[in-house]
Amino acid sequence: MKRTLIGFLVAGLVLAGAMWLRTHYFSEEARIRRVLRGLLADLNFPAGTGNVARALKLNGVMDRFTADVTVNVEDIVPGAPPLTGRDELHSAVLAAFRQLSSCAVTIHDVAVRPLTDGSENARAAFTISVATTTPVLELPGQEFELELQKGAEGRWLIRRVAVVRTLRR
Amino acid sequence: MAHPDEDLSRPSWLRIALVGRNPSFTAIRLLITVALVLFLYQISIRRIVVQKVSMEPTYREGNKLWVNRLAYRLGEPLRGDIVAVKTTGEKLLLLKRIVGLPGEHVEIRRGIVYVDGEELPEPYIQRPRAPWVYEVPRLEPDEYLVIGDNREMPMKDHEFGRVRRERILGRIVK
Repeated sequence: MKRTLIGFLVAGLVLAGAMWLRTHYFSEEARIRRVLRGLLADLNFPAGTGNVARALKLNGVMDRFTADVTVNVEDIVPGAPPLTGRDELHSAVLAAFRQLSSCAVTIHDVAVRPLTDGSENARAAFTISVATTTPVLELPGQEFELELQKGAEGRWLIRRVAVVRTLRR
Repeated sequence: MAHPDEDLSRPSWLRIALVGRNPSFTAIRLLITVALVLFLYQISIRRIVVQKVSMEPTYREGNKLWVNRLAYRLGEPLRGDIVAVKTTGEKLLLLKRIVGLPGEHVEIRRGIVYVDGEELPEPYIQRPRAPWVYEVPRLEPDEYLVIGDNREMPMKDHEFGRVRRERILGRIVK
């Protein structure tokens, strides 16, 4: 009786572990979350980061976007035209990396929209807070929405970035 | 007459006070109580710390407040309520005051708020008002207009606007 109970308990634990791994590591949602975490890691750099390290981070950032990416931030930078294509985005990020002495980006409340099995497209929404030095810029909480596309070798790439206003004017 | 061994086997009053007559039951009761308290805490209130200045002078940076998440389960948000507005989740919340209710026409002229053409009395505004100019088309049935109390700020730097009911997490209690 006792052995049977222990057997059930072990089987239950193994099953729970397998489900946890599937949800948190092997699912498409987990892969998308890893893309966002990686992007965030590359966007963060402390003061004193050298040029080589910055260039590596820039490559890391650009590596996560599709060639035809569009980035629209007009809601937070009035009059800013949308960036279209990886080259335009590269120029903008390069300029920011050169100008800023440090950048701290924190991501909160990531929500990946339901994906059907085998889907090639996904959406993700999250809120970020940004603090930079020289120039000092502080964005306490800004919502973003991303569209992602599954690329070669099953890698998720960002195809569209848009700002979402929490409070609509 | 009691046997001396019986006295030794009987649990002491201190042990009874600490873990009860049956420690297993006490442990289970304790676990259930803790789980229940955590569950009630989770669904009913949320602790927040004020950042930024948009609610000054009512709330200042560093003030610690509570959000009553159950406040609008039975009733509707009221004008004048200070509410927490969700972003994509609940880690970062916006703290604002409700000035416009569903179906109302709200206009701001020279910093003064008018609701359906009538000036809104706002005793909580204690600083000079910047000359904001803003007009919202009639608010939709599930929409509220929320603004911070710091109207001294330039309008472009002040996060305010329309918010859907579903985004309102709860009312602030001090």
